[in-house]
Amino acid sequence: MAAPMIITRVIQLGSKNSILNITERLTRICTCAVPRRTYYDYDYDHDVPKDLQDFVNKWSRVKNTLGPSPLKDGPWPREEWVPGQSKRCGLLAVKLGMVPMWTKSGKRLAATALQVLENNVVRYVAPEDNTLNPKYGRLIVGARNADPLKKPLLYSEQFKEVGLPVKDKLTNFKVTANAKIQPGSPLYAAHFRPGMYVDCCGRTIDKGFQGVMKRWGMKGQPASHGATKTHRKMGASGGGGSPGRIWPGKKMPGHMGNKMSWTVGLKVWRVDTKHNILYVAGSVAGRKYGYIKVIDSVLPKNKKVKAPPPFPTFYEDEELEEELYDDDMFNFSDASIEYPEDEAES
Amino acid sequence: MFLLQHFNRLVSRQALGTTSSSIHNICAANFSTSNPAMGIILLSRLRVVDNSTLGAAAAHKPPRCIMVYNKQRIGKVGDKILVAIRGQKKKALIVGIKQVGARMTPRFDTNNIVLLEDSGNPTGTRIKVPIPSHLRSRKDLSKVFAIATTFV
Amino acid sequence: MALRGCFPARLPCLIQRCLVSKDLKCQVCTTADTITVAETTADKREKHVHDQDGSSPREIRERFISPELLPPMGTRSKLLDYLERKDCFRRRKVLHIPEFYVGSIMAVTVADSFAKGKSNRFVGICTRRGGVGLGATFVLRNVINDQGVDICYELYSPLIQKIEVLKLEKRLDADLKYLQDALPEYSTIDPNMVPIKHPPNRAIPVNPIKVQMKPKPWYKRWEREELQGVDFSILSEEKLEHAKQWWLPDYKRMDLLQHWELPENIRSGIEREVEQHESELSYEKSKR
Repeated sequence: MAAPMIITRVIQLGSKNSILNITERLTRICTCAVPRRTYYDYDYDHDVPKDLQDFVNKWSRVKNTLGPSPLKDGPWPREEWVPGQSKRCGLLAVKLGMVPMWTKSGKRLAATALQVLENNVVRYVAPEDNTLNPKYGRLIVGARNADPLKKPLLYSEQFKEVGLPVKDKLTNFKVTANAKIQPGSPLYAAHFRPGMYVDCCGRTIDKGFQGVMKRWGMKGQPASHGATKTHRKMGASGGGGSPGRIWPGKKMPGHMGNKMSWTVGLKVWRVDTKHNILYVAGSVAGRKYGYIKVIDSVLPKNKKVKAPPPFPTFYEDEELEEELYDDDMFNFSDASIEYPEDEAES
Repeated sequence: MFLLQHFNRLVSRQALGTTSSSIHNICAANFSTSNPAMGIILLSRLRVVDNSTLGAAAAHKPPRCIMVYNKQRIGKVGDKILVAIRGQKKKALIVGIKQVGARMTPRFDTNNIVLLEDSGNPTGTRIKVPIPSHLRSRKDLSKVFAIATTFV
Repeated sequence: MALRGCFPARLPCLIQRCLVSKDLKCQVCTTADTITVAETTADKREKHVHDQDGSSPREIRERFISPELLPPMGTRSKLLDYLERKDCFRRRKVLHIPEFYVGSIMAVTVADSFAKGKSNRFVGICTRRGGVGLGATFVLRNVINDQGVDICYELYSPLIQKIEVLKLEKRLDADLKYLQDALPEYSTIDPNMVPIKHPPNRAIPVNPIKVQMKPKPWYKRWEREELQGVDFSILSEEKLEHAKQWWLPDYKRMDLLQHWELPENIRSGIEREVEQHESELSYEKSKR
């Protein structure tokens, strides 16, 4: 391997006493030879000399990209979009926050900004190999380049064969066989266009163990008028003689939040192709800077969109403007809205 | 424990000589318990802004809302209400409230109403104060806007 | 109104007096023409500098940055803030948004599909500014036909056609919401007011007026806030003394985050963006 060779040479120039010790550690770090070892197992700041820290950091991020990449074999053939049948890949975005926007009629909207950060296809599973659901294939997509020193060995090794830097987060998308994308290829925000409808999935904010009033919105009991020790409790929980038990699924106190939730049917109003940002109408479940899965909407809303989406995804050979707007959205470099005078008056 | 604290507070106030004045203030102050952030609810005090004789006669005792004709029972601008005014029951239209509404729409310092007949026509012949302009999208109220002088 | 009888005697010609510009005396050199604004709460960043000989005072005004362009404290995305600022500048190239402060008298023209000329003009005094980035707002207040009206405008809304500053000045407080509980004279402005020009490169004058309040009930117990521009003479001295303990409660005095300021590197970056925007604007003007 090239990594330990370079590092040993660098270290040989330094002090001789600590050579063995440091080389041993560095080889372990750079090749991830220690199984299941994460960043908190060793003191990175003290073990590695300061002049080497920067080098180790860069090398560990880059080394995978020097390996074999499936993109070098030649591109896979691109197939045609079949309306009503094809199912496209999605994106893994980071939620940045919300910004106001206006329509051309002057109505105000609140839009969520989702940044598509360093998305790459990591693996494709054909429908024949998909044991869970043989009807569809699976595309495994990774987002945001991460520090491999902070990831477990088995996780970071799966990026070696694709020739990609280690990704922070992986998800899979259900796709039809004609929507497969070659592993290693990047995905951009232009995968979605303004006017399309998307579904977003995020992990909701953790609220901890909550009572029945906050968790399910029950009414509770009065604060006074002789009420003792029952103010925020659940009332009756079911019948007495028959069934004589509590039905499964009864709404009760428990852990609230920190679970995946879908927000469906959101319109894409604007796409920033330079910074890879999607502006999606309305709020999306999940905290700021959390990962959010974005797919084509399952609702029939998308049938109204006449133009076919970029299929199987947006490739860089297609030329696009820096910012794409919906037809109804007000562009800030346009003139202010003016209503036309009535004909009867003029 | 609470009683002791209360007693201490009373004693300290007496030492400052404020007990009598504070009681006097509470009795004398015409304080309002209604929250200005609310819409028009049951028994909200209102101000008649048209020039009807009934509205002018009720100046010393403000009319009160006794019913809001919508599902939520909370009146906003454009809602019709029933008003108790000088011992009579009258219908009225809300044309401005204290509550802060949507942006780019006005907020008024008083809760304003215009008295209506049962047929829906306004009782007065002129409205003195400005009326929110966005209300003009309501075509069923055009008779009320015909007697208005200013819009904001 | 039933309460009208118990109001204190109204001040004559107050409208004229509070609207005509008043020059303050400079505390250092005591010349009548100059104005000090160094100690006001509204803007601490303006400076009043005297030459060494003390004869000619010269005013240094830092570049004015609209407050919504500066991000507040919190975990915010720098990228999103930058993109929002870019949109703000794009809108500012189409619509001229002048420099204004809380206390300035302004006129706003808004597109209105129901109005006669399809637009509506409202004149009032700016009582508060709020919001960040594209969500910035400002509130105008006026008394029309004895009826106090507040309107909250969105600064970057495409419905706004024109923003004019009729009189550029500041007040002693950063928020004038108390005007709704003050006597109506203090917020009455003539809708046909002639704009008063502010000489360029001069410091913004501060109006030292102290408003008289109506008798209670108020929207809020205003005496419990540290307000400079209110005359509480209708309250007893005991009550005022008692209210002072809420001016700066312990939890605020000990809170270090109350003293948070925007880091200098972020501020200078935004200043550079504003500079670039202004140079682009002047270039476009010269092209025409």
